[in-house]
Amino acid sequence: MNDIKKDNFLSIYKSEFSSIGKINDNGQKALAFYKQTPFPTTKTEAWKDTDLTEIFTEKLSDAPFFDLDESFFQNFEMPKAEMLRLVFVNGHFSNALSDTNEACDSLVIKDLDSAIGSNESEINQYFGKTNINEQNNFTALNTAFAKNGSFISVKKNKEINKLIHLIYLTDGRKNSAFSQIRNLIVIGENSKASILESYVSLSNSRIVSNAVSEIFMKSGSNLEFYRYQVENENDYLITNTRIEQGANSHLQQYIFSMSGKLIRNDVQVNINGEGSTNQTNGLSLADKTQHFDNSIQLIHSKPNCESKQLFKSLIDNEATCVFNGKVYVAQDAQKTNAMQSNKNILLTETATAHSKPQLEIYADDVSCSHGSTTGQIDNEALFYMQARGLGKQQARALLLFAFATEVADSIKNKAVKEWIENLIDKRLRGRNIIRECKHVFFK
Amino acid sequence: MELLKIENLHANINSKEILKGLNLTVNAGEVHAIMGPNGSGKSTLASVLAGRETFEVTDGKVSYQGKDLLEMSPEVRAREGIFLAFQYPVEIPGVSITNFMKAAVGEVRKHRGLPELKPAEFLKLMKEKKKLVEMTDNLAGRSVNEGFSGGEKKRNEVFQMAMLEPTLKILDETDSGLDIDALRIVASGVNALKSADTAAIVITHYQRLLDYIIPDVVHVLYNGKIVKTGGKELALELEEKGYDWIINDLK
Ligand SMILES: Nc1ncnc2c1ncn2[C@@H]1O[C@H](COP(=O)(O)OP(=O)(O)O)[C@@H](O)[C@H]1O
Ligand SMILES: [Mg+2]
Repeated sequence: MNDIKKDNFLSIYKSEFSSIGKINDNGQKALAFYKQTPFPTTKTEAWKDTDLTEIFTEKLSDAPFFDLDESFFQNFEMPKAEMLRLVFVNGHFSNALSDTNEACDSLVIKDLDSAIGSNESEINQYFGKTNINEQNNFTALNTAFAKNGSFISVKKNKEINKLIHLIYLTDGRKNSAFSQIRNLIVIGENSKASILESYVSLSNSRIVSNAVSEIFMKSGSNLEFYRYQVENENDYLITNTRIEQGANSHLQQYIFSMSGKLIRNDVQVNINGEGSTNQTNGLSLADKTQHFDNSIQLIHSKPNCESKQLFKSLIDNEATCVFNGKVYVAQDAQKTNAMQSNKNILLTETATAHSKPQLEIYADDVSCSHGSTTGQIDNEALFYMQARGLGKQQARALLLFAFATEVADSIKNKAVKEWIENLIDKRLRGRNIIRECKHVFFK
Repeated sequence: MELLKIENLHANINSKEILKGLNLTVNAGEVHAIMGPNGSGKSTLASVLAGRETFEVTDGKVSYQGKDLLEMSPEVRAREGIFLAFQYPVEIPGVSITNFMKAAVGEVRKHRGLPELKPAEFLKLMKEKKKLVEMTDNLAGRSVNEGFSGGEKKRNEVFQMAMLEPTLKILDETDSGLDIDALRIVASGVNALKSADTAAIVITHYQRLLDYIIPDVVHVLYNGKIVKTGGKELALELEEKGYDWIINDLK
């Protein structure tokens, strides 16, 4: 039975490895892994609340490349910041939409496919080195056949002031299609950067997107990493991310899942050096029958590090949100300070939240806490606001906005913070509180 | 002029009758004090007037400025000039006092046919009213009531009252838990809002507040009804003798 599912994807590619798949024969190994590993089902512990069955029910084609001209972005709501941008359409690089002209020699920003030729030594040094290739069937499939993605490499001791915006557009052009993206990001020693990823669907046909990212943060580096996911109602987005944090590195990571049929984000952060900090936040705004799942693993291997997680969801109609968060503290990781919090608001009786915060601690001198709450909107607060003249809808919107934007409070980049708060506000407006948001990304 | 007229008001919570035929008339320009033992129904009366839906009105009439108050939603009552300073103000995490008041003042002005305030005008109004209750800028920037001390919460209630310029002010034990300085600030805030067109209902346990806010009429609410009404000297008498003499008279 599993084979049919696997063949579904394999038949898209006819076993032709992409140039990414050809790097150090990674594709061959990944394909062998793929062939012998079944897809997860709801019997698999890490997938018990997320059912993938529907992904396999329809035959998918290879999402085609097509170009859009630059006027396309006139309708985009962009952060008001100076930006460098890479744009991909259905996993293919769009030269016309990208803008890297102002890139300085402090960094390399280009599509991964061309970087294989031009930045060979770095690719060899880092690609696949987080062991993500054979993490699961999706990462294996991606390793063998993904055609392109972003390559960002910040040199040592550099601060990149411009916002790096990576935009992944999908459009099946009326066909059900499969699209893959493969990213490699290296932040050099003592360097600093802000990266925004936008996953945006343009079509109403079914798109299954499979994105894999590897991020290396060298010692003393600083990264703000924001992910904005706004897919259409028929779309599936599966992301797998590995982040390696060196000593004294500081990561602030935000995942905003705004719409889509099913989104699954698997993130694993390995904190491999002392004195590092990690903030990983997530916001899911789900309505109708949408299903968003964040599976986060934070692995503390070294002492004197700190990690904080805040995941929140607003869940309307029959939607479901899942949070699986594990903080693992190795025996060596003394003086670890770890906090994990998951808060959900169910807006209807048919909305569902699954929450599983977990701590696995092998060191004895640590300070770790975790908590999870799932509740309804605070009626006392609603009445209080009404008693000051606010309409019920307005009071609700204000309460929900306040709840949601806490996730973004710690964002340092002002332009991104304003941008995302505005998008959250838009998403929360409308008759159904969480409204149809097919075009939320647009003005 | 008659501002509020309550006739034979009955109200339930969870099918338990709390207000049992209450009558009260408040004219413009007056200050009424309502006193009475705990559990008499004072907060229930305040909640019913503000429009809280958990209380079910089973009988009686309430007219406010000649209109049927019970027909109005809570927000319309607020826009029409009814303000309740809550006995237990709720915390609203993530919503700053400034943003909250911006929204509230906007709605109230719209309803009253007044032009929208320009940002500078709004800030000026905030500044003026903060000064009235001696509220710090720091407090105004914080989330509504979140982590506030009891006194700060009460001060915030009076501040909001000043911002919204209500016609009928209802203060539910705004004095409880205040030290004497805070009490004076709160009381002078309330007095500053006094006018010939507005009225106040001050629910309190203590005579001391009435030293600052001088009532025209004092009522005793007991077991869901007004059982005694008098002038300001009634409050002094209650302070001295408690409620037992009134309750015993009823038997
Ligand atoms: N939410 C509620 N559920 C059940 N009973 C309530 C509720 N609120 C108030 N009551 C009851 O109603 C009565 C009157 O309460 P309240 O109006 O708060 O009195 P007061 O303000 O005079 O102290 C009390 O017996 C109280 O227990
Ligand atoms: Mg009370």
